[in-house]
Amino acid sequence: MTGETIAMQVPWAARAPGALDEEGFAEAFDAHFGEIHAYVAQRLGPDNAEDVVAETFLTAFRKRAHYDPSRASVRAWLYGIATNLIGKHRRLEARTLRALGRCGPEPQSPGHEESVAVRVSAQSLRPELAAALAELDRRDRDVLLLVALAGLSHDEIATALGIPYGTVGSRLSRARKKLRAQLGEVLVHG
Amino acid sequence: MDDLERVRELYGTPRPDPDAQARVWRSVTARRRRRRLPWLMVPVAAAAVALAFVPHQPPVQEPHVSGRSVLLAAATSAASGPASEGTYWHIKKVRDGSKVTELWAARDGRAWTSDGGRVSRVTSGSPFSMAGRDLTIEQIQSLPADPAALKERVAAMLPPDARGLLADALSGLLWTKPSPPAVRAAAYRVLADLPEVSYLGASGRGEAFSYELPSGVRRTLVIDPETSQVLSCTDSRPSPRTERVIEAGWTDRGPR
Repeated sequence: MTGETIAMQVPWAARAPGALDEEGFAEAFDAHFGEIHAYVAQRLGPDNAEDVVAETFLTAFRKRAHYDPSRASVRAWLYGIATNLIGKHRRLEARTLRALGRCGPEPQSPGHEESVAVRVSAQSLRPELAAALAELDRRDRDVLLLVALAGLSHDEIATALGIPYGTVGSRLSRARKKLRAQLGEVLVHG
Repeated sequence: MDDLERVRELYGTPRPDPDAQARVWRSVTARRRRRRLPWLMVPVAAAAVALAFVPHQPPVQEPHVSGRSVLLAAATSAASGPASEGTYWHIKKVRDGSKVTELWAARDGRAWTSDGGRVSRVTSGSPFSMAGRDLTIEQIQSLPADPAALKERVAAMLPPDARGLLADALSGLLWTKPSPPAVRAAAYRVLADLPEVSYLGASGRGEAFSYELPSGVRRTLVIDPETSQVLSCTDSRPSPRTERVIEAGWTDRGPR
């Protein structure tokens, strides 16, 4: 540790994407644990997230030879694996949605004051929105939430879920139409 | 506010508790290792599993696992590490989570560092040194593979009675220098018997050891005994600084 002194900056974006060897896997874990955990905790509740997140990364590790950096980012690939595993917990997801409709998510950490006004205005619609989400076809909900929560592009979602590009668009618009119909009804009549 | 924003508001932003990442990593690696047991030397793998398999509990030190046995397990895996094949020895580290540093060193003494994709040639001296003395790759590669001989050789390069420097010079052979597998294994074995090296228990993805430098700075290394790789190095003073190793090893891919 006596030795070379090199202290320079390389932006992360400048790094070439590569296949996942063991070190690459550890690096991907460190880089993406936070958001994958958040995504799973959002959909299945914080108490159940850790098991599914561990399963996600274990699956990723076992299938790392199949990961093709030219087709998808590691991030999108992990979201795809997590989404497929979440699909095995439909009752848990339904229960989580009911809870979200009733009482809302855990309070956010300090520093998020700017969103309070928005949250209050949306508060009255929570139960209806949660119910509408629960009623969606699971595949439509997957696409909607990969857009809304993960911020993936249509292209990334198509690769992550192994579905045609056009299907992403049609599932998303079907899901949004249903949500808007439900919420619109409430806003007009409620 | 459109429907997607409403969806985001509904779900909120859950935050994992600070230990969640370490717990999940341990669970993942433990299950990886269990699957791989048949191909590994069983005693070493069993020790690694005993260390790492603490699912869904806060990180705790297994009382029956000694730091010495962890370092000896690392020595065993270091001995079977990859041979020095490739044109460049390369290490990539990230300091305090943001600053990335890279070094490439060729056998003929040429070396480069990288800054934002801008590669610059190292022009002054060797990129490797021990206690202030330059070392060539050739000198590093020809260090003794016998623990006692290695200890003697390294100690001879240090000022007398500099407690902590021996541990530091030896651990430098584990990660900041292109040491052959046998030399890394020997360095782990010497460290396992140094009284000034203390074992702190499991930490993040690995096992933490520390020693005090003559300056009073406490240096903590986190190692992965299964791969023998050093994962990170943290100095206690003046403010805690951590270097995390992203890649270290021989490669044919040159500076870029």
